[in-house]
Amino acid sequence: MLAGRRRALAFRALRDAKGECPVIPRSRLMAGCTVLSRVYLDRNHDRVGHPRIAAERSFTTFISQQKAYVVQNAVAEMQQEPERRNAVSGNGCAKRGYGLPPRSAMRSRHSVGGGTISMISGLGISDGGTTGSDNLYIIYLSSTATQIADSMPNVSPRSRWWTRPVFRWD
Amino acid sequence: MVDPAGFQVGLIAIIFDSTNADVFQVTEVQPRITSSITQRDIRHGQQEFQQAYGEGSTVSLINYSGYYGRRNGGPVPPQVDAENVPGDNVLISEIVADDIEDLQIRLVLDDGDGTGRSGIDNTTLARVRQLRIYLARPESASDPQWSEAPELYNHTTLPGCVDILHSPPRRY
Repeated sequence: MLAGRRRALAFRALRDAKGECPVIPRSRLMAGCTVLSRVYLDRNHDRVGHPRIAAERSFTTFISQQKAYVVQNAVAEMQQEPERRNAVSGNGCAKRGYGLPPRSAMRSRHSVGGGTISMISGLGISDGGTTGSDNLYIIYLSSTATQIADSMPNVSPRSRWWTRPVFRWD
Repeated sequence: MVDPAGFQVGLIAIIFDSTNADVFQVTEVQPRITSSITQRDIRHGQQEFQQAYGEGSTVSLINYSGYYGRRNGGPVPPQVDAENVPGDNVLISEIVADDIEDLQIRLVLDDGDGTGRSGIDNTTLARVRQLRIYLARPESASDPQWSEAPELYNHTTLPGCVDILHSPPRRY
């Protein structure tokens, strides 16, 4: 038997009771003490227990609604992220490799790190090392290709070379 | 004077033959009039090319976009950025996807073997049959249905993002 009002909710199982030990009637004197103790617990239930129950019920409702909102938000994000990725990269992916050789070792000052890129069908790949992100490049020609008229004299960055005329100058 | 082929100072172009290619910025365009033909004189001012390209090598302007993962650290979510070079040698960066902490690429060869490294020779490049792009997104909890072993590619350790939520996802 636990102290408390009739029909009051038990928050813990009887076996877990510590402070609120089962009441064991002994003498009248001890029984009086027990009654006082029961009143004290009753007041606690009135002041704390019942508002706590109400609060727990309202918070439970809020938490369930919050969980549903979080799940809905996560699902929306999962749906939106691939769509945005596809929208940005889809156009370039469709055109990648246009006018370029199927595979070549490409070097670009504009690549991350400026190193050599392996280019396969317009997709350039460079390695980010053992800790960094790899890099992906989408490359395609944007104008009419032309050919150089003479072999380049050297690989100097100041070299000057010429293209065959595809169009005449205006 | 306008070059009908579109070569202008500041634009990004490519020169290539059957095996090598170099991306460069055009730094000078001048007409060169000879007795029989009109030619364009294009100059570049950056790094050395991989080779002195021979007569008949192709040159053209290109569209060029780079994608990479960025780990911002702290409360800022990781992201995949795209850098475009529309002209004037200005890299314009934009966010492609939030909360992507790692981007790895694996080249699968004709024998099913794979490599995670670039800079491989042309013989190996000719054997590439698949590109596998791996994006790692941080989660607050592991997926109990996930049974596949984590793919390290050429990482020496598994990125911490796979099992730890480093930063809260960006909310819109």
